[in-house]
Amino acid sequence: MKLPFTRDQRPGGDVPGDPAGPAGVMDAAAFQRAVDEHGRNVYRYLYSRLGPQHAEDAVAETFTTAWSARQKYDPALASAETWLLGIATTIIRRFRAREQRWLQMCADSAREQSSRSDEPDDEDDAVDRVDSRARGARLAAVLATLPSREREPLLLHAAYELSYEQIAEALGIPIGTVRSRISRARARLQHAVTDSEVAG
Amino acid sequence: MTQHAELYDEIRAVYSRRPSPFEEAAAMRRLAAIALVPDSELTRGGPARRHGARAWSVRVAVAVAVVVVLAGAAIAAPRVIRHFNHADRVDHNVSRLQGPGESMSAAEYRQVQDQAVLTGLELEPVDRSRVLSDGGRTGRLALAPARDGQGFCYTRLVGSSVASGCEPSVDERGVALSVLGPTVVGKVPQQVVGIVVDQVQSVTIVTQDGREVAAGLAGNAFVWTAGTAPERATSIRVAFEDGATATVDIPVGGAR
Repeated sequence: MKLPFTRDQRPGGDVPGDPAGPAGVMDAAAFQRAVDEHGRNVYRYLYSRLGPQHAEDAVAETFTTAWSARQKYDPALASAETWLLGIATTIIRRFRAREQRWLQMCADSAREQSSRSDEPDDEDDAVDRVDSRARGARLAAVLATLPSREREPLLLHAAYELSYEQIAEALGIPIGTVRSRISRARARLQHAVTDSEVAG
Repeated sequence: MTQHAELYDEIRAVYSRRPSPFEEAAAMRRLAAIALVPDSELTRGGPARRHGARAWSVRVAVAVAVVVVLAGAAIAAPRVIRHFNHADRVDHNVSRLQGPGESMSAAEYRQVQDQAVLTGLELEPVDRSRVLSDGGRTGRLALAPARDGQGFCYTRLVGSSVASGCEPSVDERGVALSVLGPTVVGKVPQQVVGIVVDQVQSVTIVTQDGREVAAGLAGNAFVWTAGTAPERATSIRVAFEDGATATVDIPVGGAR
Protein backbone atom coordinates (compact mmCIF):
# COMPACT_ATOMS: atom_id res chain seq x y z
CA MET A 1 0.00 0.00 0.00
CA LYS A 2 1.36 3.35 -1.00
CA LEU A 3 1.52 5.88 1.77
CA PRO A 4 -1.19 8.48 1.45
CA PHE A 5 1.11 11.24 2.62
CA THR A 6 4.27 10.38 0.76
CA ARG A 7 6.95 12.47 2.26
CA ASP A 8 9.13 14.51 -0.01
CA GLN A 9 12.62 13.18 -0.11
CA ARG A 10 15.10 15.77 0.91
CA PRO A 11 18.86 15.62 0.94
CA GLY A 12 19.98 15.16 4.48
CA GLY A 13 16.70 13.65 5.55
CA ASP A 14 14.64 14.67 8.49
CA VAL A 15 17.28 15.55 11.00
CA PRO A 16 15.92 16.50 14.39
CA GLY A 17 16.46 20.17 14.91
CA ASP A 18 17.31 20.60 11.28
CA PRO A 19 15.68 23.99 10.74
CA ALA A 20 16.92 25.64 13.84
CA GLY A 21 20.13 27.59 13.92
CA PRO A 22 23.21 26.64 15.88
CA ALA A 23 21.78 28.12 19.05
CA GLY A 24 18.60 26.10 18.60
CA VAL A 25 16.52 29.20 18.07
CA MET A 26 14.10 29.15 15.18
CA ASP A 27 14.51 32.53 13.54
CA ALA A 28 12.66 33.77 10.47
CA ALA A 29 15.06 32.09 8.06
CA ALA A 30 14.89 28.80 9.91
CA PHE A 31 11.13 29.02 10.03
CA GLN A 32 11.01 29.66 6.31
CA ARG A 33 13.11 26.53 5.82
CA ALA A 34 10.67 24.58 7.95
CA VAL A 35 7.82 25.87 5.79
CA ASP A 36 9.67 24.89 2.62
CA GLU A 37 10.64 21.47 3.86
CA HIS A 38 7.59 20.40 5.77
CA GLY A 39 4.75 22.56 4.50
CA ARG A 40 3.64 20.10 1.86
CA ASN A 41 3.70 17.11 4.17
CA VAL A 42 1.78 18.91 6.86
CA TYR A 43 -0.73 20.09 4.27
CA ARG A 44 -1.16 16.56 2.90
CA TYR A 45 -1.68 15.26 6.39
CA LEU A 46 -4.34 17.87 7.05
CA TYR A 47 -5.89 17.30 3.65
CA SER A 48 -6.27 13.61 4.28
CA ARG A 49 -7.86 14.30 7.64
CA LEU A 50 -10.04 17.28 6.88
CA GLY A 51 -10.61 17.23 3.17
CA PRO A 52 -9.97 19.94 0.64
CA GLN A 53 -12.26 22.58 2.07
CA HIS A 54 -10.56 23.06 5.38
CA ALA A 55 -7.03 21.78 4.89
CA GLU A 56 -5.76 25.06 3.55
CA ASP A 57 -7.16 27.02 6.48
CA ALA A 58 -5.80 24.46 8.87
CA VAL A 59 -2.30 24.43 7.43
CA ALA A 60 -2.15 28.22 7.52
CA GLU A 61 -3.30 28.13 11.10
CA THR A 62 -0.77 25.44 11.92
CA PHE A 63 2.13 27.50 10.65
CA THR A 64 0.85 30.71 12.18
CA THR A 65 0.65 28.94 15.51
CA ALA A 66 4.09 27.48 14.95
CA TRP A 67 5.49 30.89 14.14
CA SER A 68 4.02 32.40 17.27
CA ALA A 69 5.32 29.50 19.35
CA ARG A 70 8.68 29.10 17.67
CA GLN A 71 10.59 30.22 20.75
CA LYS A 72 9.23 27.20 22.57
CA TYR A 73 10.46 24.80 19.94
CA ASP A 74 13.29 22.66 21.20
CA PRO A 75 15.13 20.83 18.44
CA ALA A 76 16.65 18.52 21.01
CA LEU A 77 13.21 17.16 21.84
CA ALA A 78 11.59 16.74 18.45
CA SER A 79 12.28 17.15 14.78
CA ALA A 80 10.62 20.10 13.14
CA GLU A 81 8.28 17.87 11.21
CA THR A 82 7.16 16.04 14.32
CA TRP A 83 6.67 19.33 16.10
CA LEU A 84 4.61 20.70 13.21
CA LEU A 85 2.51 17.55 12.97
CA GLY A 86 1.80 17.88 16.67
CA ILE A 87 0.56 21.42 16.16
CA ALA A 88 -1.44 20.35 13.12
CA THR A 89 -3.08 17.63 15.16
CA THR A 90 -4.02 20.14 17.81
CA ILE A 91 -5.49 22.38 15.13
CA ILE A 92 -7.52 19.45 13.81
CA ARG A 93 -9.24 19.20 17.17
CA ARG A 94 -10.76 22.61 16.51
CA PHE A 95 -12.11 21.24 13.26
CA ARG A 96 -13.53 18.12 14.88
CA ALA A 97 -16.99 18.45 13.44
CA ARG A 98 -15.54 18.95 9.98
CA GLU A 99 -13.29 15.95 10.38
CA GLN A 100 -16.30 13.84 11.30
CA ARG A 101 -18.16 15.03 8.24
CA TRP A 102 -15.17 14.33 6.04
CA LEU A 103 -14.84 10.81 7.39
CA GLN A 104 -18.52 10.26 6.90
CA MET A 105 -18.17 11.44 3.32
CA CYS A 106 -15.28 9.04 2.75
CA ALA A 107 -17.39 6.25 4.19
CA ASP A 108 -20.36 7.14 2.01
CA SER A 109 -18.20 7.38 -1.06
CA ALA A 110 -16.61 3.97 -0.40
CA ARG A 111 -20.04 2.48 0.26
CA GLU A 112 -21.38 3.92 -2.96
CA GLN A 113 -18.47 2.52 -4.92
CA SER A 114 -18.90 -0.90 -3.36
CA SER A 115 -22.56 -0.98 -4.33
CA ARG A 116 -21.79 -0.34 -7.98
CA SER A 117 -21.40 -3.44 -10.06
CA ASP A 118 -21.06 -1.93 -13.48
CA GLU A 119 -17.39 -2.64 -13.94
CA PRO A 120 -16.75 -5.43 -16.39
CA ASP A 121 -13.93 -7.34 -14.81
CA ASP A 122 -12.88 -10.68 -13.54
CA GLU A 123 -15.66 -11.81 -11.22
CA ASP A 124 -13.45 -12.78 -8.27
CA ASP A 125 -11.52 -9.52 -8.49
CA ALA A 126 -14.72 -7.56 -8.60
CA VAL A 127 -16.07 -9.33 -5.52
CA ASP A 128 -12.81 -8.73 -3.67
CA ARG A 129 -12.87 -5.10 -4.61
CA VAL A 130 -16.45 -4.63 -3.51
CA ASP A 131 -15.68 -6.38 -0.20
CA SER A 132 -12.66 -4.24 0.33
CA ARG A 133 -14.58 -1.03 -0.33
CA ALA A 134 -17.39 -2.07 1.94
CA ARG A 135 -14.88 -2.78 4.65
CA GLY A 136 -13.22 0.57 4.01
CA ALA A 137 -16.58 2.29 4.40
CA ARG A 138 -17.17 0.52 7.71
CA LEU A 139 -13.68 1.41 8.86
CA ALA A 140 -14.14 5.08 8.03
CA ALA A 141 -17.44 5.11 9.89
CA VAL A 142 -15.85 3.54 12.95
CA LEU A 143 -12.84 5.86 12.79
CA ALA A 144 -15.26 8.76 12.95
CA THR A 145 -16.60 7.46 16.23
CA LEU A 146 -13.23 6.90 17.89
CA PRO A 147 -12.33 9.43 20.56
CA SER A 148 -9.79 11.83 19.12
CA ARG A 149 -7.28 10.95 21.84
CA GLU A 150 -7.19 7.45 20.35
CA ARG A 151 -7.68 8.29 16.70
CA GLU A 152 -4.81 10.77 16.58
CA PRO A 153 -1.98 8.53 17.75
CA LEU A 154 -3.32 5.66 15.66
CA LEU A 155 -3.39 7.72 12.49
CA LEU A 156 0.01 9.21 13.07
CA HIS A 157 1.34 5.70 13.50
CA ALA A 158 -0.62 3.81 10.89
CA ALA A 159 -0.96 6.36 8.15
CA TYR A 160 2.01 8.57 8.72
CA GLU A 161 4.39 5.98 10.07
CA LEU A 162 5.58 7.98 13.04
CA SER A 163 7.17 5.92 15.75
CA TYR A 164 5.67 5.79 19.23
CA GLU A 165 8.46 8.08 20.41
CA GLN A 166 7.72 10.62 17.72
CA ILE A 167 4.02 10.54 18.47
CA ALA A 168 4.78 11.11 22.13
CA GLU A 169 6.88 14.12 21.15
CA ALA A 170 4.28 15.44 18.75
CA LEU A 171 1.35 15.14 21.11
CA GLY A 172 3.22 15.85 24.30
CA ILE A 173 2.13 12.69 26.05
CA PRO A 174 4.13 9.85 27.61
CA ILE A 175 5.13 7.02 25.33
CA GLY A 176 3.27 4.51 27.47
CA THR A 177 0.09 6.48 26.90
CA VAL A 178 0.72 6.45 23.16
CA ARG A 179 1.14 2.71 23.26
CA SER A 180 -2.02 2.09 25.23
CA ARG A 181 -4.14 4.48 23.18
CA ILE A 182 -3.04 2.95 19.89
CA SER A 183 -3.68 -0.48 21.25
CA ARG A 184 -7.16 0.48 22.41
CA ALA A 185 -7.96 2.16 19.11
CA ARG A 186 -6.84 -0.87 17.15
CA ALA A 187 -8.93 -3.17 19.29
CA ARG A 188 -11.99 -0.99 18.90
CA LEU A 189 -11.56 -0.80 15.14
CA GLN A 190 -11.06 -4.49 14.66
CA HIS A 191 -13.92 -5.30 16.97
CA ALA A 192 -16.34 -2.88 15.34
CA VAL A 193 -15.46 -3.85 11.80
CA THR A 194 -15.72 -7.55 12.56
CA ASP A 195 -19.04 -7.04 14.33
CA SER A 196 -20.49 -5.15 11.42
CA GLU A 197 -19.27 -7.80 9.00
CA VAL A 198 -20.98 -10.48 11.03
CA ALA A 199 -24.13 -8.39 11.29
CA GLY A 200 -24.00 -7.56 7.59
CA MET B 1 3.65 -2.57 12.77
CA THR B 2 3.80 -5.64 10.54
CA GLN B 3 1.58 -7.42 13.00
CA HIS B 4 -1.20 -5.03 12.15
CA ALA B 5 -0.21 -4.38 8.58
CA GLU B 6 -3.58 -5.21 7.10
CA LEU B 7 -5.46 -2.88 9.40
CA TYR B 8 -2.95 -0.12 8.79
CA ASP B 9 -3.26 -0.61 5.04
CA GLU B 10 -7.00 -0.16 5.36
CA ILE B 11 -6.57 2.96 7.47
CA ARG B 12 -4.23 4.39 4.88
CA ALA B 13 -6.81 3.63 2.22
CA VAL B 14 -9.43 5.60 4.14
CA TYR B 15 -7.04 8.54 4.39
CA SER B 16 -5.72 8.19 0.88
CA ARG B 17 -7.06 11.40 -0.58
CA ARG B 18 -4.36 13.74 -1.66
CA PRO B 19 -4.43 17.32 -2.84
CA SER B 20 -4.00 18.15 -6.48
CA PRO B 21 -0.83 20.01 -7.44
CA PHE B 22 -2.95 23.13 -7.86
CA GLU B 23 -4.41 22.84 -4.37
CA GLU B 24 -0.99 22.18 -2.97
CA ALA B 25 0.54 25.16 -4.71
CA ALA B 26 -2.23 27.42 -3.42
CA ALA B 27 -1.66 26.24 0.13
CA MET B 28 2.08 26.75 -0.16
CA ARG B 29 1.63 30.27 -1.47
CA ARG B 30 -0.47 30.99 1.52
CA LEU B 31 2.26 29.79 3.84
CA ALA B 32 4.99 31.63 2.03
CA ALA B 33 5.06 34.77 4.08
CA ILE B 34 3.87 33.89 7.54
CA ALA B 35 7.39 34.29 8.80
CA LEU B 36 7.41 37.84 7.51
CA VAL B 37 4.50 38.94 9.66
CA PRO B 38 5.76 40.63 12.79
CA ASP B 39 4.50 38.92 15.94
CA SER B 40 2.99 42.15 17.12
CA GLU B 41 0.77 42.22 14.08
CA LEU B 42 -0.39 38.66 14.47
CA THR B 43 -1.47 39.31 17.99
CA ARG B 44 -2.43 42.94 17.86
CA GLY B 45 -5.79 43.92 19.25
CA GLY B 46 -8.42 46.00 17.59
CA PRO B 47 -7.62 48.80 15.23
CA ALA B 48 -7.03 52.30 16.41
CA ARG B 49 -10.43 53.31 15.18
CA ARG B 50 -13.06 50.80 14.25
CA HIS B 51 -15.52 51.70 11.56
CA GLY B 52 -13.54 54.84 10.91
CA ALA B 53 -15.40 55.83 7.82
CA ARG B 54 -16.08 59.42 8.66
CA ALA B 55 -15.46 61.39 5.56
CA TRP B 56 -13.21 63.96 7.14
CA SER B 57 -10.93 61.39 8.65
CA VAL B 58 -10.67 59.58 5.35
CA ARG B 59 -9.68 62.76 3.67
CA VAL B 60 -7.12 63.73 6.27
CA ALA B 61 -5.70 60.25 6.21
CA VAL B 62 -5.50 60.24 2.45
CA ALA B 63 -3.94 63.67 2.41
CA VAL B 64 -1.18 62.65 4.78
CA ALA B 65 -0.65 59.39 2.98
CA VAL B 66 -0.42 60.98 -0.42
CA VAL B 67 2.08 63.52 0.84
CA VAL B 68 4.14 60.68 2.18
CA VAL B 69 3.84 58.85 -1.09
CA LEU B 70 4.92 61.93 -2.97
CA ALA B 71 7.87 62.34 -0.67
CA GLY B 72 9.55 59.44 -2.27
CA ALA B 73 7.77 56.15 -2.01
CA ALA B 74 7.08 54.59 -5.35
CA ILE B 75 4.29 52.14 -5.95
CA ALA B 76 5.82 48.89 -4.88
CA ALA B 77 5.83 45.85 -7.05
CA PRO B 78 3.75 43.25 -5.26
CA ARG B 79 5.64 40.14 -4.44
CA VAL B 80 3.95 38.05 -1.82
CA ILE B 81 0.47 36.71 -1.50
CA ARG B 82 -0.70 36.09 2.00
CA HIS B 83 -3.89 35.46 3.85
CA PHE B 84 -5.02 36.70 7.16
CA ASN B 85 -8.00 34.65 8.05
CA HIS B 86 -5.83 32.39 10.13
CA ALA B 87 -4.57 35.33 12.12
CA ASP B 88 -7.83 36.80 13.18
CA ARG B 89 -10.12 33.80 12.85
CA VAL B 90 -12.58 35.28 10.49
CA ASP B 91 -14.50 33.42 7.88
CA HIS B 92 -13.39 35.34 4.86
CA ASN B 93 -10.02 34.93 3.32
CA VAL B 94 -8.24 37.79 1.75
CA SER B 95 -5.06 37.36 -0.14
CA ARG B 96 -2.71 40.21 -0.08
CA LEU B 97 0.03 41.39 -2.29
CA GLN B 98 2.74 42.84 -0.27
CA GLY B 99 5.20 45.52 -1.14
CA PRO B 100 8.81 45.34 -0.04
CA GLY B 101 9.14 45.78 3.66
CA GLU B 102 5.43 46.10 4.09
CA SER B 103 3.08 44.15 6.20
CA MET B 104 -0.52 44.63 7.06
CA SER B 105 -2.05 43.82 10.37
CA ALA B 106 -5.05 41.68 11.01
CA ALA B 107 -6.63 44.82 12.40
CA GLU B 108 -6.39 46.50 9.04
CA TYR B 109 -7.96 43.57 7.39
CA ARG B 110 -10.77 43.62 9.89
CA GLN B 111 -11.40 47.20 8.88
CA VAL B 112 -11.96 46.09 5.34
CA GLN B 113 -14.32 43.42 6.53
CA ASP B 114 -16.17 45.73 8.84
CA GLN B 115 -16.72 48.14 6.02
CA ALA B 116 -17.87 45.38 3.77
CA VAL B 117 -20.43 44.31 6.31
CA LEU B 118 -21.59 47.85 6.90
CA THR B 119 -22.15 48.45 3.24
CA GLY B 120 -23.63 45.09 2.49
CA LEU B 121 -20.73 43.82 0.44
CA GLU B 122 -19.54 40.32 0.86
CA LEU B 123 -15.82 39.86 0.56
CA GLU B 124 -14.70 37.24 -1.79
CA PRO B 125 -12.83 34.32 -0.31
CA VAL B 126 -9.27 33.45 -1.28
CA ASP B 127 -8.21 33.93 -4.83
CA ARG B 128 -9.83 36.98 -6.26
CA SER B 129 -9.54 39.18 -3.21
CA ARG B 130 -6.48 41.30 -3.39
CA VAL B 131 -4.85 43.72 -1.13
CA LEU B 132 -2.49 46.15 -2.67
CA SER B 133 0.19 48.09 -0.94
CA ASP B 134 1.21 51.43 -2.30
CA GLY B 135 4.59 50.96 -0.71
CA GLY B 136 4.60 53.89 1.65
CA ARG B 137 5.71 53.00 5.13
CA THR B 138 3.06 55.07 6.78
CA GLY B 139 0.40 55.07 4.11
CA ARG B 140 -0.74 51.64 3.15
CA LEU B 141 -3.67 50.73 1.09
CA ALA B 142 -5.68 47.56 1.09
CA LEU B 143 -8.32 46.65 -1.44
CA ALA B 144 -10.74 43.80 -1.25
CA PRO B 145 -13.26 43.17 -3.99
CA ALA B 146 -16.76 42.09 -3.26
CA ARG B 147 -17.57 38.46 -3.92
CA ASP B 148 -20.17 39.32 -6.49
CA GLY B 149 -17.85 41.73 -8.22
CA GLN B 150 -20.10 44.66 -7.45
CA GLY B 151 -17.54 46.80 -5.78
CA PHE B 152 -14.70 46.87 -3.31
CA CYS B 153 -13.63 48.12 0.06
CA TYR B 154 -10.42 49.85 0.90
CA THR B 155 -8.49 50.55 4.03
CA ARG B 156 -5.64 52.93 4.56
CA LEU B 157 -3.28 52.93 7.46
CA VAL B 158 -1.66 56.26 8.19
CA GLY B 159 0.49 56.11 11.26
CA SER B 160 -1.72 54.47 13.84
CA SER B 161 -4.90 55.74 12.31
CA VAL B 162 -7.01 53.55 10.10
CA ALA B 163 -9.41 54.95 7.58
CA SER B 164 -11.59 52.90 5.34
CA GLY B 165 -14.56 52.93 3.07
CA CYS B 166 -16.32 51.05 0.35
CA GLU B 167 -17.28 51.66 -3.23
CA PRO B 168 -20.23 49.50 -4.00
CA SER B 169 -20.64 50.58 -7.59
CA VAL B 170 -19.26 48.92 -10.65
CA ASP B 171 -19.63 49.83 -14.28
CA GLU B 172 -20.92 47.66 -17.07
CA ARG B 173 -17.45 46.32 -17.86
CA GLY B 174 -16.83 45.34 -14.26
CA VAL B 175 -14.63 48.23 -13.21
CA ALA B 176 -15.12 49.70 -9.77
CA LEU B 177 -12.98 52.62 -8.79
CA SER B 178 -12.51 55.32 -6.24
CA VAL B 179 -10.69 58.60 -6.48
CA LEU B 180 -9.18 59.64 -3.19
CA GLY B 181 -8.47 63.33 -3.12
CA PRO B 182 -7.63 65.97 -3.81
CA THR B 183 -8.52 66.85 -0.27
CA VAL B 184 -6.92 70.25 -0.53
CA VAL B 185 -7.59 71.53 -3.96
CA GLY B 186 -4.46 72.33 -5.86
CA LYS B 187 -2.09 70.96 -3.27
CA VAL B 188 -2.72 67.27 -2.86
CA PRO B 189 -2.80 65.17 -5.99
CA GLN B 190 -5.35 62.52 -6.30
CA GLN B 191 -5.04 58.82 -6.02
CA VAL B 192 -7.08 56.44 -8.10
CA VAL B 193 -7.73 52.98 -6.80
CA GLY B 194 -10.00 50.28 -8.09
CA ILE B 195 -10.86 46.76 -8.88
CA VAL B 196 -11.39 45.20 -12.27
CA VAL B 197 -13.74 42.30 -12.09
CA ASP B 198 -12.69 40.52 -15.27
CA GLN B 199 -9.20 39.24 -15.92
CA VAL B 200 -7.16 42.34 -16.48
CA GLN B 201 -3.88 42.77 -18.30
CA SER B 202 -3.10 46.42 -17.67
CA VAL B 203 -4.60 49.63 -16.41
CA THR B 204 -3.55 52.96 -17.85
CA ILE B 205 -4.42 56.27 -16.30
CA VAL B 206 -5.03 59.17 -18.66
CA THR B 207 -4.35 62.51 -17.03
CA GLN B 208 -5.90 65.83 -17.84
CA ASP B 209 -2.87 66.93 -19.83
CA GLY B 210 -3.11 63.84 -21.99
CA ARG B 211 -0.35 61.79 -20.46
CA GLU B 212 -0.83 58.06 -20.11
CA VAL B 213 0.58 56.42 -17.04
CA ALA B 214 0.50 52.76 -16.11
CA ALA B 215 -1.18 52.07 -12.81
CA GLY B 216 0.27 49.61 -10.32
CA LEU B 217 -1.57 46.37 -10.76
CA ALA B 218 -1.86 43.54 -8.31
CA GLY B 219 -4.18 40.80 -9.27
CA ASN B 220 -7.31 42.60 -10.30
CA ALA B 221 -6.67 45.64 -8.13
CA PHE B 222 -4.93 48.79 -9.23
CA VAL B 223 -3.68 51.98 -7.69
CA TRP B 224 -2.28 55.15 -9.14
CA THR B 225 -1.03 58.21 -7.33
CA ALA B 226 -0.59 61.47 -9.16
CA GLY B 227 2.90 62.77 -9.76
CA THR B 228 4.74 65.70 -8.35
CA ALA B 229 2.38 68.36 -9.58
CA PRO B 230 -1.29 68.55 -8.86
CA GLU B 231 -2.82 66.71 -11.73
CA ARG B 232 -6.05 65.00 -12.26
CA ALA B 233 -6.82 61.69 -13.85
CA THR B 234 -9.61 62.02 -16.34
CA SER B 235 -10.06 58.42 -17.35
CA ILE B 236 -8.68 54.95 -16.97
CA ARG B 237 -8.15 52.55 -19.79
CA VAL B 238 -8.35 48.88 -18.97
CA ALA B 239 -6.91 46.16 -21.19
CA PHE B 240 -8.44 42.78 -20.48
CA GLU B 241 -6.73 39.48 -21.02
CA ASP B 242 -9.12 38.56 -23.79
CA GLY B 243 -7.87 41.52 -25.80
CA ALA B 244 -10.83 43.78 -25.13
CA THR B 245 -10.36 47.27 -23.78
CA ALA B 246 -12.59 49.60 -21.83
CA THR B 247 -12.30 53.27 -21.00
CA VAL B 248 -13.89 54.55 -17.85
CA ASP B 249 -14.22 58.28 -17.28
CA ILE B 250 -13.35 59.58 -13.86
CA PRO B 251 -15.78 62.22 -12.72
CA VAL B 252 -14.43 65.47 -11.38
CA GLY B 253 -14.50 65.65 -7.62
CA GLY B 254 -13.74 62.10 -6.70
CA ALA B 255 -15.44 58.81 -6.25
CA ARG B 256 -18.51 57.75 -8.12
